[in-house]
Amino acid sequence: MLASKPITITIDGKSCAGTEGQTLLQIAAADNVLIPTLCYLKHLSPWGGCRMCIVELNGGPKVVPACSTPAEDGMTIATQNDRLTRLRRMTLELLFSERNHVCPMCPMNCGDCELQTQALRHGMDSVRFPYLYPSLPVDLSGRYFGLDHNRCILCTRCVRTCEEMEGVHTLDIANRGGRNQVVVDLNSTFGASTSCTLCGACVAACPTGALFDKAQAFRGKLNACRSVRTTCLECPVGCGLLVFTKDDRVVEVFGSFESSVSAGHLCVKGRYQTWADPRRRILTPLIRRNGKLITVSWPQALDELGRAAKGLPPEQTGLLASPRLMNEAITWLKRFYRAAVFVAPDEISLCRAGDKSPQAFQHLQAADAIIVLGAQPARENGVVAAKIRTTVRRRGAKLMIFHTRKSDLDAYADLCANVVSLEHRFWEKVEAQLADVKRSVLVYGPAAMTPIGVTVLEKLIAIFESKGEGQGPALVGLPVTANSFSLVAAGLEPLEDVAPWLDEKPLKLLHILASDEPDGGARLLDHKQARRLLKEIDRVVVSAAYQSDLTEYAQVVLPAAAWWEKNGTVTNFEGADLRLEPVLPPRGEARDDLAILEALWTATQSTASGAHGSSELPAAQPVGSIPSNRSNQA
Amino acid sequence: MPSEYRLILKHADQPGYTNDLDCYLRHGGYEVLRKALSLPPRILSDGRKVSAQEQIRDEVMLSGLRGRGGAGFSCGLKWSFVDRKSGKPVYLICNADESEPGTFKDKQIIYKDPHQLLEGTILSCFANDVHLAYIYIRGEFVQGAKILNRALAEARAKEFLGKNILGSGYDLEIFVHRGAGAYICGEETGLIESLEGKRAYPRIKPPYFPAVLGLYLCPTIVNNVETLCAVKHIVAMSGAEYAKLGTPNNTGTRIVSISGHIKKPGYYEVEVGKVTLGELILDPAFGGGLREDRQLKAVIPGGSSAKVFKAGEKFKLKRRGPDGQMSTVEVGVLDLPYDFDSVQQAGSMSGSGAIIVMDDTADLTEALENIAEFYAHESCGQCTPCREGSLWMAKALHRLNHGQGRKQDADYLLHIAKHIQGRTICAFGEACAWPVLSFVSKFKDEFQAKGAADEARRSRTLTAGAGPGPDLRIAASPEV
Ligand SMILES: Cc1cc2nc3c(=O)[nH]c(=O)nc-3n(C[C@H](O)[C@H](O)[C@H](O)COP(=O)(O)O)c2cc1C
Ligand code: SF4
Ligand code: SF4
Ligand code: SF4
Ligand code: SF4
Ligand code: FES
Repeated sequence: MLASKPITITIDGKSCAGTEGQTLLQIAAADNVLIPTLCYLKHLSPWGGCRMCIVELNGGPKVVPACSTPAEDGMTIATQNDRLTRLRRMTLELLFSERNHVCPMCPMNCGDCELQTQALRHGMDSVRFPYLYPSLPVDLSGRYFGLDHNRCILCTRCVRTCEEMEGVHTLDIANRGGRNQVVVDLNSTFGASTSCTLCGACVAACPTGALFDKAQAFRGKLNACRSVRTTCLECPVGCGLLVFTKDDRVVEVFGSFESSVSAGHLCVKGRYQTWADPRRRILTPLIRRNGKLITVSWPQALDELGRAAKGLPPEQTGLLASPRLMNEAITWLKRFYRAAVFVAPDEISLCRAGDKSPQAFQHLQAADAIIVLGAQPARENGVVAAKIRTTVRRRGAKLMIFHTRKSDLDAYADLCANVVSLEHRFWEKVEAQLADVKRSVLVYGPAAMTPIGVTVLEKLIAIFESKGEGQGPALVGLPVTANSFSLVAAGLEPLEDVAPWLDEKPLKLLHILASDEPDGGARLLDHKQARRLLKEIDRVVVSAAYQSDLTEYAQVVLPAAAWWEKNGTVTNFEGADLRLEPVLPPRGEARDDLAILEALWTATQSTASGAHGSSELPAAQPVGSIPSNRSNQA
Repeated sequence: MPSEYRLILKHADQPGYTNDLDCYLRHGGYEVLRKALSLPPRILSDGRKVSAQEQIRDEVMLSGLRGRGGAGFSCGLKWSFVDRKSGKPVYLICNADESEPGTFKDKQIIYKDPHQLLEGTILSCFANDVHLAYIYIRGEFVQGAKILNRALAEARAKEFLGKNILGSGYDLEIFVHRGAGAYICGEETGLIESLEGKRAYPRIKPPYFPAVLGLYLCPTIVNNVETLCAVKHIVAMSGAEYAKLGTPNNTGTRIVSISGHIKKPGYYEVEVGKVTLGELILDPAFGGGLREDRQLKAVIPGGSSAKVFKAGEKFKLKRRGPDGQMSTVEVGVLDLPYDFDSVQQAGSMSGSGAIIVMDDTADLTEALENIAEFYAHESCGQCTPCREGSLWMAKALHRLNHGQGRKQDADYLLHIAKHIQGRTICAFGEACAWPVLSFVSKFKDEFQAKGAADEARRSRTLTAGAGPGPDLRIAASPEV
């Protein structure tokens, strides 16, 4: 691509440099000239509709929208003067008179609403036009967010977000002129929508209180919250989170635009499920007395553990860990004699077979064809699915899906095949589809490692090889859990089926480190025979963030930190080391996995016969060191 | 003695003239196309070859043809803007959305002489190396779409269309696309979005000028039905001959739709600038005058979005004399030559060539409400000033006509209208602001009197303690 030509424009008498193709607003922003906007969002295509960003061109009176007007060399614009303020105020008045803005009743009141902020900034103290008082519905049928049409300014930021970031086009505008209204699907509701993925990106993009998160409403003003950037732990993509907290509560979670991975986008798991879904948290250590779990202190619980471990040879104690552990804790695990990790089927062969996939998103974005094999990005890695959809819609890239299970992505695919029933004629179709494809990406998941998956993979490779040198696809491997690659790299024993491991007698004491598995680690119980085998073990210790059926098998329960209390790094599917910053101090007496491991180690090693493992222990991260909001609240 | 000059409508209304191909061929149809396709390249004195296509484009430029769709932009110049080096295909779209209130001229061509439109379109496509063209026809023209589709099939069967047209090696396909009944689909970039299957949201210009980034982001020509028909006659008679029709810079003929309070509403094809607005309204050859005992009150000269003229208004026009000297002459409304430049100098536009006449029985606040309702209904809703402004103007006018007016409403209306024009993505902003600006400022006393009368009556009712009258119920009705 040719380098863009440098140009110079004059903004408010100041000479500013830019390049051809930039808009007036982009050049102004680079020079810290603030032009008011409403419908503009940096990462979306310009709309040019709200007319807040008008500037005077070449001495006026002509005004043009700065957000969508390409800059030309030598242009002169004025961004601030009395006339522009007057015009912008009038636009604001029209917006206010159009709908029913009852600010004191709105969760965005006082600082979170761009409309209100602009009105204050432009001295709009009253509206000169009679209000229209339309009677409009409020859609509260959605699980996580609501849409109050009374507060909508029709900026289409939500519509463009849904199309350009999530790629599903659930939202659009219906009707003409003043009857314009945001619609979900074909005039449906969020609750009944068949296309909405609940990614919540539209809500984050809305400048007003029209789209609002139910959990956030009235928990606190975002502008008065503490905000921390951290990493999502819900899948191996590792999207960047911007978490808002107040009074030791999570108030809102947005995608972080500083994230080199996800560039501001999230899927429903990171955006909502981890904080807006109700869960029962374990807040204190518990021990079983007369069949009931009772609350105890940490020293009491560790005492109990020490007693249980007393005299046990190392091979009779085991540690079964969730793969949600962070790198620091994983290093620690190796000190235990019998430590293993419970993982999803075929995940480990994927991590062993595949390299990490640096720049996966760049590859996906530039692809002419995307092949999905044995992965479920629409369910597991929503942000990858979003990138696939947007590439298919924007670039017209071809999409081929091989699976054994239906997926929401199927609707976007050119070819969609159940791998169990592939015939010869089918491969001719695949070959034809790939004939003039230059850049392709193969997204594969654990199921690609099954025998049938491997057969398909070999077929695909043969097709690509016949296309010639350098025609192969970029590979994007998608394991299931956040840190699987690190687990495998650390050389821990991964278990797809825990039964043989549990059955390897004699096991007298078992620690289950469930970390903050959303289901409290209960998925372990789905393994064949697991329930029976767990019952046979004398002492089961479970550390988990959430209550579940698993705690029913435990004699000792330890409260673990949730993702917003964790501190450390994970290695994502691209091979990037991503930081988790503690967002809140641990709730109750919860401790993070590393601290729990350390405590377990001390409690059991001092009493067990024949201590095992290295004596050089990595220093544990102190968990209480997180700045607390409460302390500033006296 | 002014009279019609029928060039495009020459055959349309002749007894026995039908809209099928045979009839068209009997009247010399597709001869121009046949000639144009076999036009040899012209060799210039410097040895440069001018292709047949270029020759046609030059003729159109020379003819001075101005677009008949509304803006009156030079057709030759528009074609010259087309980006021919992009390597992308060039598309041509015939704008048959004819939805400007008061306009009913394209309909005559489509219904009565569709092959003339096709021949003009094929010639224009050939001249611009277009291989795929669309006729975007307004949804309400159900029959029109059928007629065009039949005409296309006939033309295809006779090899006027399709692959290797008349053995020339030139390929062209034309498709009819029906709109769904929205005025904004007439705006060329809205039309393009609609044709792409999206909501007809007009695009931001710059950068989306159709000549560069049009249909599917390829260079695209959008021309009105009448403009494309004129191309046929330009190729037939040469640009220079065409330019002799009409007046300088306002060449050729155009079809004027006249409606309103006149004896003979209808469409009349005239040489541009050779007749005056007064003649079009009063002459027996055209509108035939007002009804008995009626006085002229107002005229809209170019479709409902053009600024209104008040009877008795005087305009200063710049005229170039035979000696080339510029001079200023004063003309009244009725003496205003009906051409692009004169109407524009008089502060309005000849737009789509639709003249709407109102006599002294017309209530202008009601007339304006009717227009404003139309624009409030048809705004696409992208731009705040247009979406809200058009709605608010319609609301205020509704109020004024239903006993809830206020004295200051007139000024409010002007205020809003001024806020819309020049602040929007497309020219709809002007289209909805101009009628309000012109009606209210030219007939301000009427608007103020209505508001004042309402106020006076309301204060009477209040002092008489009669409680809310029937008027308030109207204001409280939830209709939006
Ligand atoms: C709101 C609006 C509505 C329009 N409607 C029509 C229409 O119905 N028919 C038409 O030919 N042009 C219409 N136009 C003009 C077109 O945008 C375009 O200028 C025209 O089709 C160009 O053709 P011409 O150069 O042959 O006149 C409209 C313009 C605007 C702004
Ligand atoms: S959206 Fe903004 S302006 Fe509207 S009610 Fe809420 S705070 Fe007020
Ligand atoms: S939540 Fe996501 S998918 Fe649903 S409407 Fe909003 S942006 Fe679209
Ligand atoms: S819901 Fe919000 S983002 Fe969407 S158009 Fe309305 S104000 Fe804009
Ligand atoms: S001016 Fe009106 S019709 Fe034109 S784009 Fe804007 S809102 Fe739509
Ligand atoms: S921010 Fe530019 S028009 Fe809305």
